Amino acid sequence: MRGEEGAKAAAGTSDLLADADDGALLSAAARRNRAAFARLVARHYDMVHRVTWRITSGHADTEDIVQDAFLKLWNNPLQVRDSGALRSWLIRVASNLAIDRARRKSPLDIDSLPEPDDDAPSALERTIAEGSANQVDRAIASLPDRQRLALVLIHFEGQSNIQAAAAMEVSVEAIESLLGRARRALKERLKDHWREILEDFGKLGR
Amino acid sequence: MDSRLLKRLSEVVAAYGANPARWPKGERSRLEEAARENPRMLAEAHEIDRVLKLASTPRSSQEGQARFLRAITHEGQAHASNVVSLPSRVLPSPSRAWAWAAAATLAASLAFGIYLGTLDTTDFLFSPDTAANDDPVDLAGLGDVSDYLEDQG
Repeated sequence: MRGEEGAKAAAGTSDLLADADDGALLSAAARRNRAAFARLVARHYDMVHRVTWRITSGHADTEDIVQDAFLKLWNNPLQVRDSGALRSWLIRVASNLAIDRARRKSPLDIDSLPEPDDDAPSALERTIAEGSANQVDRAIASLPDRQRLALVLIHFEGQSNIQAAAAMEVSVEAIESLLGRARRALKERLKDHWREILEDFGKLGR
Repeated sequence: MDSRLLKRLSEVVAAYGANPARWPKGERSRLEEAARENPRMLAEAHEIDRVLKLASTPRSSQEGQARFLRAITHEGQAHASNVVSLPSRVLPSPSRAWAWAAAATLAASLAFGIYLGTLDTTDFLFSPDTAANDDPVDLAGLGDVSDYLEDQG
């Protein structure tokens, strides 16, 4: 009987946490409530991982960087003053960690980039996709840090210009400038293979 | 068409690409209208968007997320298991008689000190030889050094 009540209470708590906003979860995490913190991790981990993966071009450090960012949050959840901006805070911390690590280490070995996910239906398509993906990945990896981050947030993450500006602590005008330069630089870096890549895109029927 | 609007369309397309869903919300509808009348302005941005679509997709983070949550949970359990609650130790309170004895000893020491302070001398506290010898050098025995050196020399 007591077990059933405990299970119901736990389920109730879990429901409450699922519905709780980031602010409530941060307050609970500040009181060392691991379930609340786990909820925050479940809510934001994927997004932070995707952004970091793209900033590091899939470097093996990605997982460490994401976990370091969440560990900083766990160690002091109340440092996020505006709970509505937790996503921005996490992106900022993770991207700063990624950029710092990249600067401390030797320049990124673009040839060591991981293979793309194996989701192409045929060997031919996979070869085409890998060839083009590698070239595009290298071009993105060679962009300056802030241009790359702006491109990742707006183009790949679908964030609004206001959200991206908040995450990068710059103005909306600066975001537009970074994006424009990033896209021009991308085309310039790929100009020798531009037509081939577009043909590959056509063959893949994307 | 308003040249400023076209200029703005070209800036927005250069930054955000050809997909209006990425354009700034407040300007979207009027820019979309302008784009419908000038589709060629979007051609280059369309190409760049297509090229970006070929970029690799991040791998799943489920495993790393689970590992991180396990580490956080285990950290808590490890901390909890390291804390051993000991029964609180009750120190025996000193008896009232012992407290009075200690207080009386301290009071007697104080009274004796005051008494000594009222006397002119404290020579009577030392043996007669020591009390009569006021020469600190002799007390240290250094007066014999010259004799010793002569013997050695």
